[in-house]
Amino acid sequence: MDEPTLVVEDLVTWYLTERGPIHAVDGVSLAVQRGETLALVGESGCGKSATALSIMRLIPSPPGLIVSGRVLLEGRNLLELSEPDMCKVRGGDISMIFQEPMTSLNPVYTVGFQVAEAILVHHKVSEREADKEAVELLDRVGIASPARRAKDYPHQMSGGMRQRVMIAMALAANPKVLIADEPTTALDVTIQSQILDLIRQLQQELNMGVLLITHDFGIVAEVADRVAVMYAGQIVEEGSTGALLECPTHPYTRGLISSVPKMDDPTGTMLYSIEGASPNLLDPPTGCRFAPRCGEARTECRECRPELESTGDGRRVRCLGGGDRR
Amino acid sequence: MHDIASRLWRHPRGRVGIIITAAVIIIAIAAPWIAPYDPYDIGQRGPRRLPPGPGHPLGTDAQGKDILSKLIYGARVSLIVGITTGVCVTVLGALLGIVAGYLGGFADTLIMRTCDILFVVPGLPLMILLANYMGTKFYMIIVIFTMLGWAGVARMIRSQVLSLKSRDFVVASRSVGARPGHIMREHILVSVSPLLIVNGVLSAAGVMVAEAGLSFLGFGDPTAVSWGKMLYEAQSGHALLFGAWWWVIPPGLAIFITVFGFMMFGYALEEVLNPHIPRQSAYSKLRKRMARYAGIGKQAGIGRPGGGESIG
Repeated sequence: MDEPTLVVEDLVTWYLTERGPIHAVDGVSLAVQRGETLALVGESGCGKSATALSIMRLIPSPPGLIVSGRVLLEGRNLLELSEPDMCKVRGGDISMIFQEPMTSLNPVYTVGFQVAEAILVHHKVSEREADKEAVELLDRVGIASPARRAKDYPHQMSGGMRQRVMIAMALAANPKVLIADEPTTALDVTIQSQILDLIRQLQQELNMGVLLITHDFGIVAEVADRVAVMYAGQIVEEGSTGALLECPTHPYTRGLISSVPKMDDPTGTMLYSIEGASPNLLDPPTGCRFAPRCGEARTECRECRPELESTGDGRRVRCLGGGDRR
Repeated sequence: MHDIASRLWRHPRGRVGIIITAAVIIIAIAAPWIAPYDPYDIGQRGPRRLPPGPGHPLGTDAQGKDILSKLIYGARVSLIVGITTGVCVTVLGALLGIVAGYLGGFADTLIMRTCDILFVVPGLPLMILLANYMGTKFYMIIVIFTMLGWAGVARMIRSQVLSLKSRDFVVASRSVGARPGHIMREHILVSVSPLLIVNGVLSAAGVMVAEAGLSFLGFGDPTAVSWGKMLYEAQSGHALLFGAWWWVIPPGLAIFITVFGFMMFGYALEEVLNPHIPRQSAYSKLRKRMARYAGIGKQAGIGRPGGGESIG
């Protein structure tokens, strides 16, 4: 395989609070190839979005602070760029779409204007050309009669259409990497699959790397090539989608997958859920972060920190009992 | 734009405000043609202390100047000072408020601490002091009012910007590479502009009162003819001793009507531009205000923010 487009190494991000730093992202490393989709999965508050925002350097600061690590986009460390240089990278080389298409567009401008705005930021073209390109982009993301719809205001569009507009904005300058932060969470199921299809189709056309953040294993199975599972600010397991979903190694991953309701479950069975709650990231457990909730935890689990270790076939797992697959 | 104008016209207080404001502006512009005499011309003086009567509908003052003409020309000073200051305060306050709120950090600290200082400065004594040192030309009054008045606007705008800058659409705009200057101009300024317009109008009204007050105390432009100065002359000429009501009531009424017109215009504009503000009848508004003073309606919040209030 060729050199990955986006490489994140040991990223550490804190939220500084009065009670001390919250370790939102604690040593995350990942890599995305061109044309590949890496899904970042985990429960709410595990640091998925903080990772994405740190890569974009959009983490609200204060209180957010990127403490250490490297974010390499084709070898260039984004964390060392000046803010004006970073502005060129955002939207130019790496773009992001957000969870809430309803509020991510400015209500006082037409959608065409906002897409044109994204074009004008990166290309020296006249406003008229930008408007024309905006219509073409809207067409490309599957908006019917784009010339007419470009004159619409966001409130005149449905959630799915607005998310398409957001995608058009994100793709205005043909980025190399697209970060999609739960792009379909706010949409209903039929629209979800349309949007996912659209992202996949555009990914192939533009040969983009996609970092897809989600908590929905259905989406993971549908679109991701590889999966990284996050828990309490760390990646606990990573592997190709098929392998990871079929035989998850880490107890947390197994728990997550067992929590997904299945069609063939007999009626009346309780839904599976993992005991306990996520640890307080102000003061994370000393040993394995999952140990307090883990059914297989041993004494050493509570004392020693497991490292993310390779187990072959491109799989990595952060578990002291990592070998014993059941 | 047309829509706003027509909604303003249909709004009862808006219509009153438009009529009064327009009338005062027309009078100010047309002063040389409608005033019977030119108060700036020493040659055009009649007998002194004349009560209202033929030839001098509102009588004459202690120097024999025609009161009606002074009243008409006085509208010019009030309007120029009020409107110019309203615009300057709004522009400066918006600029500094947006920069402080959006950029944060050192710029924020510098601007907001300056505001804090301006808030605790006793406005009137400082204005008197500055008027003494910097001269009493009426454009100096504009400079002084602007210097003292922008802080209120800046603080109000900053608080708006703080909530705006974490809105999804601002983050989304940043995520496609928009620069801070672009976001402040295209997203932040546009979002706060209704607030700015309303505040500008209300500031203008506040400044007109403050200018009249300053002139009344004798710190106005000695060469200009203004309503405040007419009151000052009435006071120093012992108008009440002579029972010369026509020296006092016309300028007082003129100030009152003009400020009232601007206020009505401003409040109506606020309701038209911001659909979240429920239309209230004058009665329910009064009841609410009384409840607030009685300490019952504390949660209803404090009065409207206005640059004019802090200096008036």
